[in-house]
Amino acid sequence: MDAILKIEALEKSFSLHEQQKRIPSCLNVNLQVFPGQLTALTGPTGAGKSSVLKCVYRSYLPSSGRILFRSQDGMVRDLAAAADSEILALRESEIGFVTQFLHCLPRKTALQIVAEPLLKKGCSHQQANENAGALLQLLNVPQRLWAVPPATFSGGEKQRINLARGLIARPRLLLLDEPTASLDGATTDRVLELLQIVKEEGVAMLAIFHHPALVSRLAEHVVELEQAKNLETSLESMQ
Amino acid sequence: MKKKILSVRGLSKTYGLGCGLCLEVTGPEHETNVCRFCGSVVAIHGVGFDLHEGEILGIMGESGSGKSTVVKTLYFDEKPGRGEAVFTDDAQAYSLFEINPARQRWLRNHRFGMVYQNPHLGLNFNVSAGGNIAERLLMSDVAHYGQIRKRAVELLEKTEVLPQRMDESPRRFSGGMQQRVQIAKALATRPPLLLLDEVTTGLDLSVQARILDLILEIQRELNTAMVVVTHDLGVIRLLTSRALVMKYGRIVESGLTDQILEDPQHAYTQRLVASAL
Repeated sequence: MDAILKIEALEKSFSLHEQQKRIPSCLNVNLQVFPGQLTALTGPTGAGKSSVLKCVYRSYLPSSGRILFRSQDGMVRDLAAAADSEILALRESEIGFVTQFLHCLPRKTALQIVAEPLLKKGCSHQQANENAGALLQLLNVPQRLWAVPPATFSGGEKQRINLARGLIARPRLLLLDEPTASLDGATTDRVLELLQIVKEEGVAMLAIFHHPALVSRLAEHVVELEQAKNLETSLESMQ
Repeated sequence: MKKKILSVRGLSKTYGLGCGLCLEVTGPEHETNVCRFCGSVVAIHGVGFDLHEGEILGIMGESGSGKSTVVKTLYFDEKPGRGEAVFTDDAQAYSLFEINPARQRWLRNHRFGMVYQNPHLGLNFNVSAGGNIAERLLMSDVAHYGQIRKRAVELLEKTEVLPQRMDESPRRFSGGMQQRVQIAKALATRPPLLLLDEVTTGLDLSVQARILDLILEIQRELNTAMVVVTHDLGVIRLLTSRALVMKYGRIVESGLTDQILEDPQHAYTQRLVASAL
């Protein structure tokens, strides 16, 4: 089976001009993600796990290396070098990202936030809302919250809204950054069941989980990142 | 892939006579846009970007960075010194700075919309709010009184201005309402391209929020492409998917909005993002 995502020698470091410093985040990352399978990123805090996900989503600009993504049409693109508009199109149709935090427009209701990715794909309002409702139900989000903006929700509720939003449009590649970090045991089980279902539907996942138990339950592949060495260099010495 | 509707290349504008050295001694690395030899002001130089249909592009930077000049040249308020801009509409391409003034006026009245920071620039305060909208409809060849009035009511309802007040002068409206009338006027011809120049600057936060919501609603419903000029990072974050960062008339960085805010590359952008509240 062909990998949907292949990362080769990825490196990310931050050049902070004000402090004249270069801070490495992740170094020489190599991994593959396959349709219907989950690749887990593990390693100590500060090893750059989240940076890898952000580089794939291009919230961070990779410093070097290649991020090869095979899209629906069979074309392979290097996400590290693709045009911004190409990335935007892929985010809308093929690549989803679920973080620990819910970044969304204020003043929108939970249901609207979850339904939005479907609307962007051209779904009717009614269909999008129905699917969003069904998903929220599945994730145990009480119906009385659906028509409320999530600003006042608890951490766990926000996280489930976030998850539902990420899953609803069934992206071909799903990036998950600790999607169960603030959930209780029962809800975590619900989320894992849902991820299992989505995986069986063929969605490829690249994920970070805090608990080793979750990794062993869901992951087909495990990639361990090492702590980046020699933490900082001055920008001048690089030149 | 979405269709490209606007393509701008090498857009430049200098105020003053200019000398051979203007471009070499101005720009971000020289911390000025004033030529020290001839005193000319290089307002913008070498600005280029693409805009796709339904997309919102942000132009950010501090005052004097040239960001407003970019949209003013595109709306023909100012003549650029150099550069080209191609607007594609219904499979026809218009080279904005080469077509004749009549054609430019036609595009401005029919296919472009502009909302200024200062409502006095976008509205005629000597006629009513409804009259302002009617003016734009008349220019775009709608001449039936009943139709004009009906469309004006629709637009004012959409932008949450009470239609009962359409016969009043915008002079008597609050700042937020004036801004909404301006947006209604700009939308009158259902333009595929909307230019917004600091539209929420100086308004109350709650009024800002409703105008930003309105802009997003317009984008979603009408699939209008927009260029949003602002110094407010919150507006950039909320509205745009891609952004340009300008300083002293030049683009210092461009990219996906979340990338620019989370992983800014240029020293100036890093300072700008770090100083956001």
